[in-house]
Order: sequence, then structure tokens, then C-alpha cells
Amino acid sequence: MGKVSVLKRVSLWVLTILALVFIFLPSTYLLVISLEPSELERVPTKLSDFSLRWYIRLLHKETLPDAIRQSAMVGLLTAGLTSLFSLLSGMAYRRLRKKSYFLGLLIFPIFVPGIVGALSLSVFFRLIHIHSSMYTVVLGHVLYALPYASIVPLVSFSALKEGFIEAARDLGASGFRVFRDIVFPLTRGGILGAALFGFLLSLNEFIRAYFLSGYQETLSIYMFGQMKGGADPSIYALAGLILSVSIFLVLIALIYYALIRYRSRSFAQL
Amino acid sequence: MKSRDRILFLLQLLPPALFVVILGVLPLVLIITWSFWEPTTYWIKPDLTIAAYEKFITLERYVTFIKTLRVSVTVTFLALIIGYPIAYFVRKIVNEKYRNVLLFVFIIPFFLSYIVRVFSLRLILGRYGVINNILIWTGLISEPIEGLLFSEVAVHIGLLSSYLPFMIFPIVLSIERVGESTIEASQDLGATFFHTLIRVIIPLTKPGIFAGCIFVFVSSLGSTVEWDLLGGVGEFATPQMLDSLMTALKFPSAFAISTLILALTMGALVLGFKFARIGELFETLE
Repeated sequence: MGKVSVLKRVSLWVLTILALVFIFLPSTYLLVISLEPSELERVPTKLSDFSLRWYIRLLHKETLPDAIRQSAMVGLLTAGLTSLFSLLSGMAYRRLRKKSYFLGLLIFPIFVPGIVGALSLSVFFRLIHIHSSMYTVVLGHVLYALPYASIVPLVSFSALKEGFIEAARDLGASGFRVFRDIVFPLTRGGILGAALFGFLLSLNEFIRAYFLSGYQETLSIYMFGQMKGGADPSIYALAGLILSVSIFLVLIALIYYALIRYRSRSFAQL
Repeated sequence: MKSRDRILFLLQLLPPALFVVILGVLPLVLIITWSFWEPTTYWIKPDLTIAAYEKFITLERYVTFIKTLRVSVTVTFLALIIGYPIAYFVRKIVNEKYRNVLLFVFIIPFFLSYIVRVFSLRLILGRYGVINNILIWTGLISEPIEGLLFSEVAVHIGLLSSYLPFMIFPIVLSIERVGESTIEASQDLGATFFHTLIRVIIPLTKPGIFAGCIFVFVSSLGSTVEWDLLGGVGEFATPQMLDSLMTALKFPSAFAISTLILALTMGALVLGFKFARIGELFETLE
């Protein structure tokens, strides 16, 4: 594509950067605001003014620790189940003949609007007499995270050649041995990636948690209540905190993903 | 050995497949069915009535529904206009070094809290927000503009910033499938850039365009947070209506509206598979 004029190239750079500013500026600005010690909604005027005052204030919020604990539990359970399902579907996927049907099924929940998915699941649980609890939120979150998370292992499973498994079998390895020595080492990057994505998506999900949780609220529900209710500036600190944790985990996940893609490519050349 | 293999295969295939069928598909079938049932005091009983759909018309619930549709369509259109050139740029023009960085950066928002992202827009659009500050600083206005936040404009902006990446990724995937030689052939035959774009590239990337539009449309249609945090007082969209109907135990009405939303999204999906060959996008992943 050498025939693109400089003008087009520059204007496309500008458009892309503007879009990135549009997507990222508000969150970044919020992070800065959260460090302003006064009650004003402004950027700290001097470097020495930056303060963690509102972050420390979070320690005194009474219902916050329970919400954090709830979100952490839901997130970890979602991560576990999501990575297990991703692993299983990755293994099954290799041997399927009609691959696109299975992939379509896995991805289907993306196409259901969040509120409809949440609402239908809540009445379904009601029908089979399952009371709202942490576990109903987990099930809703696995359904939400699986389409995104399962793509990662599918990619890493392409590193797993049928020949490797057959060779191990011919050498007398048991099914478990094949899994332990061949399948798992080659795919654990994808499985860990799926777990991280599952955790992050669960942590930041709101509408399903809202419809499916019982008495104990998750962090997202807690934050939403504070945002609607007009709380003190510690809400910026809480938002900043959850944003920083997410960004940290995303970067780890993305680096991991880049690594397994790189590795699966070098294996594909074998 | 053969039958053990078969059992092992089923043990891998069935748990995720059944999970999605039972929790992701079956509940949808249920609420579609139940939208034709009759309400009782606290729940519903079997029947075949379109009362819930009649109320949708007579109680003018369709006004809210159509407003939500209009906003979702506008946001989808804007996302396409902005997202397509970006996707093309990222996949075809920028060199490989920056490409992966850009793709990574556009993936990040998928995994950040959308509540926080929407909430942070308040700091940009508010009375003392960034935009008003900049406009006052440059002297373009002397008093802050009030109508930026808590309005339908703010809702549009919120939805667009939430879902723009959903438009970019499917289009990037489909542009990946357009061979370099196809574009060169068109240009060697004397077509201008825009001619090539309209006659060659856009038709070939129809699967990505459709998939992106469906993603953005579906997501905007079911999104509550933007309306709640950025919409004006009493600004009310379909998701809020569903929430309040559920709280008021008016189940068949809530199910009927959900059914209509599902009909729209599934209709779009079927059209996408039939006429825009969305399925091809999945092959890119294989």
C-alpha cells in the first residue's frame, strides 16, 4: 500500500489519535482529579498538591470492604470457571468437524443485549428456584466473559499439533500424561489469559450483577449507587483505584497474549 | 481406545456447549414464550395472549422504545463513519511496528470498567468540565454551556466512546482478508483511491462492517449506564423501562419488550449471516 498520499496518511493519524483521546482522556483526567486534595473538581495546581487524601478516606467507608470482597470472590470464581470452559472448548474445538457452529454458539451471548441477558437469566433462576446469590452472579459473568475469553485459548491451541499427541501416545503415554506433559505446557498461556480476562470482565461488569446479585452488592453496584447519589470526591479515588488495577492486569494479559502468539507461531513452523 | 476417545471428546465438548445452551439460549426462549402468558398478582400463568404487546402500543411504551432505537442507530452510524477509516489505517496503512501497539491500545477499553469510563465523561462535559474550561479559556464563550451534560447529546457521546472499539475490531479482521494484490490490481487498472475504496475494498469488507454495526447496535440498545449517568432528568430509555417493569412485577410486559429487542438483534444477525457472510470472520480466527 505504497500509494497513499502524505495528506491521507497524516489525516488518518490525526483521526486515530483523536479517537484514542476521546476514549482515554476522560478516564485519565479522572485519575488526575482523584489526586486533588480539596473538594473541588480540578487538576491539582502544584506538583506538591497531589495527595492520596481521598484514597485514604476510602478506608473509612463502612460497606466498601464487603463489596470489594464480594467482587473479588465473584471475579476469582468467574476466572476459574471461564478458564476451565475455555480449556475444554479449546480441546474439543481441534477435533470438531463443524467448527464454525461451535464457535458461533460460544460467541452467541455477545449478541444478546446486556439487559435482556440479565433479565432472562434472573427469571430463569427464579423458575428453577435458585435464589439470587454470589453464585448466580458468577454464572451470569461466565456467560458474559466466555465469548471474549475463549478466543484466547483457541489461538494458543493452534500451537498444539495432533502429531505431538500421537507421538506421545505411540511412546506409551497415558491420557493424563499427555495432558500434563504436552497439552498443558503448550496451552497454559492461553488458559491463564482466559482466567485474567474472566476476572477483569467480571470485576467491571454491572448490569448482570445488578439483576442477579442477592443482598450483598458487588463493587460495580456499590460504585454505581455512589455515582448516582452524588457522593464525596472519594468516588473518584475508588474509580481511580479500580481503573489502575484493571489497567495493570490488562497489560499483564496483553503481554502474555503477545508471548503465546509469538510462541504458537514458532511452533507452527515445526 | 476408540470409544474412550469419544467419551473424552464429549467430556470436553459438552460442558461449555451445554452451559451456553442452558444459561444463554434457553432463558431467551423462555421469556419469548412467557411474553404471551397472562400476569397474575406476583407471577404469570400459562395462556396465549398478546395483551402485553397491546399495552406496548396503548400505554405508549413504544415512544421510549423508538427513542432508544433512534439513539442506537445514530451511534452505530457515527461509530461506522469514525471506525472504518481507523480500522483501515491500522490494518493497511500504518507500519507493522505501530499496528500491534494500536491494536493493543484499542483492546484495553474492553477490559476497563465501563461505569468508570462513562462516569468520567461527567468531568469532561459538566458545567466546570474540561470542554467548558477550554472554551472559556480561549474566550469563545463567557458563561459555561449548561446543556452538554445530562442530555441526549451526552448519552450519544457516552455510547460512542464505550462502543467505538466494538466497531473497529471486526472491520480490522475483515480488512485483513483483502489481499494486497487485489488493491494493487485495482490501482494498476487506473482506479483512484476512492474508486478502489468504494468498488473493491468496502464490498469485500462487508462482513466486518455488518458485524461491527451489529455489535455497536446491540450493545447500545441494551446499555443502561450511559442513560443513567449522562442522561437528563427523567431521560428514560428501554433498559430503564425494563428495569422498572420488572420491579413493578409487570413480567409479561417486560418480556414482550425484551422479545422485541431480541427480534431486532436476531433479525440483524440472520441478515448479517445471509447477506454479508459474517461467518467468514470466524474463519479468520481459525
